[in-house]
Amino acid sequence: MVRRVAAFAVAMALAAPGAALASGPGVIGPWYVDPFGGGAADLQRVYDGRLGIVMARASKPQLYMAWRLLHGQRVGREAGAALSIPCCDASADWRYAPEMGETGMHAWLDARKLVPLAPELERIDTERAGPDYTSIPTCFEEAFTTAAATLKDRVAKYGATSGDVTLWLQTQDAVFEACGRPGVTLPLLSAGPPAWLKADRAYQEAAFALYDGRHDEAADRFAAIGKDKASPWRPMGPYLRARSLVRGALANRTPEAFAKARAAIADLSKLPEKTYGRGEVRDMLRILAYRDRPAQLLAELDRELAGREPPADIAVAFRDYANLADKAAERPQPMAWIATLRAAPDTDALSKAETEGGVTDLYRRTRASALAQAQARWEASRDVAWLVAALSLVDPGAPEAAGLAAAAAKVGAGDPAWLTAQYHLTRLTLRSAPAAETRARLDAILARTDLSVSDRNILTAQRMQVAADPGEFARFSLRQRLCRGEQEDGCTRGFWHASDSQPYGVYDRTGYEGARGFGEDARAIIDRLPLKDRIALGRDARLPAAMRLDVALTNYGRAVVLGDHAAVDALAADLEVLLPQLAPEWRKIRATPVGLEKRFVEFFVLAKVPGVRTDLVDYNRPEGAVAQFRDPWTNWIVLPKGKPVKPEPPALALYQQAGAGVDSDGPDAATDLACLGECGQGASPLRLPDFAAAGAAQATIERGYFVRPRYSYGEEPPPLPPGGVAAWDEMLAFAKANPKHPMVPEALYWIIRAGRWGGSHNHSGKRAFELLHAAYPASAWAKRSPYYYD
Amino acid sequence: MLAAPAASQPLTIWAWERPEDLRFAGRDAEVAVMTGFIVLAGGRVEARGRRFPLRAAEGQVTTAVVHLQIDHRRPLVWTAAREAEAAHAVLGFARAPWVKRLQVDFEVRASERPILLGVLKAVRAGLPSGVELSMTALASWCEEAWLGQAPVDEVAPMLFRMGPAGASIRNRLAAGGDFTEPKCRRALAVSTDTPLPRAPAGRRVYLFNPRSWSAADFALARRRIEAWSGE
Repeated sequence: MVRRVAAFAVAMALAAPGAALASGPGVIGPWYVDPFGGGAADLQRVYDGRLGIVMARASKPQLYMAWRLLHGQRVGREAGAALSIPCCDASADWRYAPEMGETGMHAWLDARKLVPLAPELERIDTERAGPDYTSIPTCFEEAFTTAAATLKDRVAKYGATSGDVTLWLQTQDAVFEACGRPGVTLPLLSAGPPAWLKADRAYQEAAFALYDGRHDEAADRFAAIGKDKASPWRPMGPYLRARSLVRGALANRTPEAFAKARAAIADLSKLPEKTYGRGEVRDMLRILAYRDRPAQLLAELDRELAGREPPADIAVAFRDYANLADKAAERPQPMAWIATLRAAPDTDALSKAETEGGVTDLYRRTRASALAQAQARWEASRDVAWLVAALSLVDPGAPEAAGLAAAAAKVGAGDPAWLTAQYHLTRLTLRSAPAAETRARLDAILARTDLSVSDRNILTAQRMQVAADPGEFARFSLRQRLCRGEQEDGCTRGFWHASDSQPYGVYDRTGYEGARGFGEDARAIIDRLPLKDRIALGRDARLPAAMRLDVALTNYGRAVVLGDHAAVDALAADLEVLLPQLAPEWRKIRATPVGLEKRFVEFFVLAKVPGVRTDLVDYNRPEGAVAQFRDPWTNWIVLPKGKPVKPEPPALALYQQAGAGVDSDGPDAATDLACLGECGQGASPLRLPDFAAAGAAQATIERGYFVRPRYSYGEEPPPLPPGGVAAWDEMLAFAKANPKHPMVPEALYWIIRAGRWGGSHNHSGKRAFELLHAAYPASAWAKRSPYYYD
Repeated sequence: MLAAPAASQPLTIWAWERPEDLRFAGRDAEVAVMTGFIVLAGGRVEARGRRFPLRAAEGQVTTAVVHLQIDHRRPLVWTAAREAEAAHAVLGFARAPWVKRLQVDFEVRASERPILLGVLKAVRAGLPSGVELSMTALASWCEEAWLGQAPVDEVAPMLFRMGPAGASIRNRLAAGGDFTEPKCRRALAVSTDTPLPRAPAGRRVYLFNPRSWSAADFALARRRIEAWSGE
């Protein structure tokens, strides 16, 4: 009997490959929200029927899984695993049948080693160059597996050094060489070959014709083998004849070729059920129908996929279903639902809008249309899947929002859509509902033990935004990392070109040790707190030390530019523990009285630690030794008291950069810092917890003293705001006035470095270089600075 | 003073795995075509070629791109033989006479960097003379010393979907800063859906489009890049 893998191999050759696997280079996705379902345990829960928050950015097969669960159809472990990765590459075939052991090409390469005269081979090319830079798969796993088994048998029967076996191997090597290129010839058959070799040769010549694209000849040869009572290959003849003609039909695409292939399949289907390849009749007919009777096949797949139990080859069936639905006049319901959730504009319309303008309007209209469709279907059918679609598309405050929120509230706890409905209900009412009510509801949900890591993080984000006090805020500000490599396997995001690699300087520990970090919404809120509240947060023992360092260092940047020396001293005490690499500097700051020297040593730290900023959004955590601290520097500007600039907090879109569906300059109201745009296109505007809102006025006053420089190539930097002073200028002035100060040579060194890596101010690097080499030519710092970059 | 922009940026359009017709670009851009996909799964090297056609003008396609990835759902059995096999497969997708540059797109976790470097070394050893070796990289890799060991002529840091570090990297580039690793200063990669306000000029720019290319997409991307240097 042909093994399951053969069916996959044939199917792969005929239908389009899964485009998602190849959708683009790997890029970094969110580290705590995963539209691909997270780790193995979380995926298993979904396969078992416990649906989490439906995310519109999930892959099509995973959204189809959600559709099944929303409609009482089973998924199960096998179907779930198949739908969680792109269908249907050769490696996936193997994954489905791990119990098979060593098969395919490796089995063949191993078997060849039994023959002492076999030339060494690393690998065999199994595809031929096709037109327009394509490759055409020619040889599949089963061919190598069969050849390996045959070679072992012939060696056992006739000996590894037998001339006939050597000739057999040479012929088979040539047959497989034809998998990768045309123009191969088979070695001549010796005169008077033994019967076994003659029969094998006939089979090899038929396979050779098949790989060489001579499909009719291959079919004839396999037909002859099927009639040869002496051939051990006789049982395979009818199936391989049909398969040769199927390949011929797909290559030639003529009605005659399709008819011939169908006739051969019909012949095969009339043979006894146990005939080799008889079980492949249905798949071969589907392969043909995919090309010449797509509407008929789509309807057939629609019926098949509507069953309660998943079909055995669900991934292949769904892949074909999805591809055919894209080309159909009308999409079947599941595919219409997926398209509605995604609400992507037509490609041509988008290209036109990008050329002529109106991209934003096109997206708005597309989403509005999708929302209207989803709502109409929900109202007409009361199918909760369409409620889920409508919810994912609606913004809080939109005319439809109240009605949809009310409908979401009515979804029962036993409904597979319940968690999604609860998430959207919270999103739509977060700013309007009493905070205590939202807190109570979310606390009840978060008390459950069956939430996925991703869902828990999303709901925790919502809970944090209604935190009753700073302590609650600290508690809910942290998110659990998922898919962190060696520590947690089973994530499938890497198969969809979302990156497995994850950012640095974000977690409570370094590398794969890191398990928690601030949510993006938490970072945005922390950046909107006044210094007093930030300092308190930076001392909250509920936060891991690394997070306290992040808050404390950005607090330090703020305190310095605000000229709040008391706060600087307090923070220096904290930072002596949190950033001991700079312990002498922290002590020096505290020991220096207010005055020019204190400003100098305060600025010194800004020059030595390149990643310090006033906000977490563009801050880089210093990790390791000082020399390992990450670039770049910024050009620190200090304003005089009473002369602030217009307060401009960082755009919320900047915090959503790892997520989806937002431009870096998009409006705050369109952002989603809870699900990072992965759950749908409906916005989730940030809600400041009440304690943070109470401090907003003070935060705005302080914000007026934070200058965020804007640069562009080939242009002079913008003028300093009135009364503004650049930290590097003041340090250089201090250095000239205090040449014997022990910190000056090193300070000049760091100003040179800052000039090289993004923090230059008015040729500050060059000026520091000239002063360092003129006044301290023998110092270690001068020797470490042979160049400046201006 | 900030770095002065160069007059032009050589453009290379990425033709990823989808039907593409790039004849509209003519001689205004080269094409890097995805020709192969390789999955390292357990002890196996599974490879397949491109399935969707690319239409391009004569001489336009210069670069073969081969994507590799590791199937993390089972322990990787990595040996010298598997390394040689993977390199053989990579080179097999870059055998055509039009290939002037081979680009390896292989994203790895920190613990897997020796695998990436090993494959690159084996590929380099088997590369025909006159063919350049390029690789894609997460932008963050360009800040790490290990990348300097990659035996490549060019690294193309991907300046889109960069994660939480994205704002910092964008700011650095906008401020005239650059990547720490010198090999990362010869090329860069941008996406049509993540416009970059400014980036270092005079480098090869790989253009990624999350959907099939159109003439309008290309024109827009080119205008944005020209704006980096005020051309």
